[in-house]
Amino acid sequence: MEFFNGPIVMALVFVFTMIIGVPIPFAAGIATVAGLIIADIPLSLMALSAWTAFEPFPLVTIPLFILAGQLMEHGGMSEKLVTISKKLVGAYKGGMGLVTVVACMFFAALSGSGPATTAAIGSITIPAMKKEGYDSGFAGGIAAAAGALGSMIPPSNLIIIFALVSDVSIPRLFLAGILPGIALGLMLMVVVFIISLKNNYGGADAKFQFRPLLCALWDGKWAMFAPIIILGGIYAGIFTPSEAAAVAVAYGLFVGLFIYKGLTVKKLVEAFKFTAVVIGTVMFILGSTKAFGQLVTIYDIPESILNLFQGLANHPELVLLLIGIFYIFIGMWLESVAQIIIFTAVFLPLVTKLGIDPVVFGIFTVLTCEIGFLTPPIGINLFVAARITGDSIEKISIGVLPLLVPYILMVLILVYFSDWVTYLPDLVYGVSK
Amino acid sequence: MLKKLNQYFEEVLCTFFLSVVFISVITQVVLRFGFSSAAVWAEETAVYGLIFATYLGASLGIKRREHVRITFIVLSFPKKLKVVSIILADILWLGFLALMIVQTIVYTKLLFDVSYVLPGLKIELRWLQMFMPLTFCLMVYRVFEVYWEWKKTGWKGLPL
Repeated sequence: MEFFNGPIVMALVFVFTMIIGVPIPFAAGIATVAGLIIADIPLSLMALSAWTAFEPFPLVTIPLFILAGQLMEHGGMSEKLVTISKKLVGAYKGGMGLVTVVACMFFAALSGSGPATTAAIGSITIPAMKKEGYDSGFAGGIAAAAGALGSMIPPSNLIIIFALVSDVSIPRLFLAGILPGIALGLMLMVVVFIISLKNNYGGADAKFQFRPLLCALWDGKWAMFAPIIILGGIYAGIFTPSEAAAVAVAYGLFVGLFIYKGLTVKKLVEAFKFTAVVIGTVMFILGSTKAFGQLVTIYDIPESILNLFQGLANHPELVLLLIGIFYIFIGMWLESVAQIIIFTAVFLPLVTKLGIDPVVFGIFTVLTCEIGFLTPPIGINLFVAARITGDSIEKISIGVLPLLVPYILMVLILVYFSDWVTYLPDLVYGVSK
Repeated sequence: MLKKLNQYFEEVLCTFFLSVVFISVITQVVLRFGFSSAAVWAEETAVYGLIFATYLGASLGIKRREHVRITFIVLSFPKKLKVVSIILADILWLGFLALMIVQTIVYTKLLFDVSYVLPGLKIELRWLQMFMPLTFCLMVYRVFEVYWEWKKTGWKGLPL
């Protein structure tokens, strides 16, 4: 029982400090300090890991993709994507809602972040939906739920974090995110369509025609070309993911300054400031939790977890389901990056021992984090959407409920049939060992 | 002048360091495709640019009160307990920052005793590492600034 004291004290300290209001990255730091003291490890490890946690080069991908997303949003690409989506699905019932989902799927292929996708597309489509008489909680819910696809459809910052913790290749995980991302998008569209049919939302746009769509595609060609450069570049082996992110920034700058001309100096400065605050509040936690990861090994937590689940060794899907429920619960309270760093170290050894593909587990982890984006109290996409609609978080959290159904379904699908997830990566890179 | 410095210090530096990250990585791309060569220093400048952008960004996040806190529990407390809880949280937070200042100074001192030359940039790691305690000092300053602002409102509401 003795080695369990450390982790339990750490968990208690973490929960207590969070409840009284210490910001989460610092609460994680304080909990790590407590763990180090109990394990009698010199506290200078904190200083060391505050520095070395950032040394893996692929981490630079994250700020670059955030910056690129900002530049593309303010540079005028999100408007073009909305126009294209409008010509594609705008004519159906719930047209504007469907447009939001499709535009989010497009934007997700340029940006690596769920909240950023919600902001980029939602700020255009939410006012439009409200004008068409959508309930504003539902309108915000659509943008929040579809925006969460930003973390599943590559590039994705959360996938990069998972890849770094788990040592799975980033391009492999990126490819694995494509099919579940598209499937989720389609399921979201079904839900939006059904609810709009019931409430008679929208559907007054001009009938679907090829010509206007082609015109919109041509007009938005610079925006459509971005994912081709980013993802195509990675898969053709031209760029590493980090280089692709830098190219995305350069492309966003170029198009925003010279083609769509949406970027002003002020917006450019805003984009940098925004990126700085995001990495300062989100990536900061890497420094405080690097030491945490080492503690997990020292305390042999994966070993104890393994023993805990011994009786279920023949039912890997049940274990995955339990982890999923646990992740969704944790995701309500914890920031996703923190969740991935802390719990991948704990659970990955267990699931790989049970024969679950680490790639599948990565997609599964990101999926549960997305549900965390959409559930109060710390549902970051809900915050973003609420800021746009001007409603309370409560109202958006109710509006988003029906749109959580596809996400829950996808969790169950991944638990019971997950072979298809690795179809694309296996096709491109061959079956892994 | 001082006011402007206080207002824009982190923003300017963060923008600078993020630009360093971007320029380093894009330089690698350009060099590889245009000149089939590579810059040995680029990977290091990118990583260290990221480190400073992150820690200065954390300080900026404190100034703009954008760090994610779970507040709905605290907000449900009675008025007095609310204030006590947040102040206790901030004291713990400051304690952590103080510890980081001490530990990063200890670590920097250690680097002054041994030699660790960065392979790409050919400089001693200590000349970069020594700015780490300063970033944490800046965070402490920003926490106090939040309280200073709170005082100016006549202690109304909460220092969040």
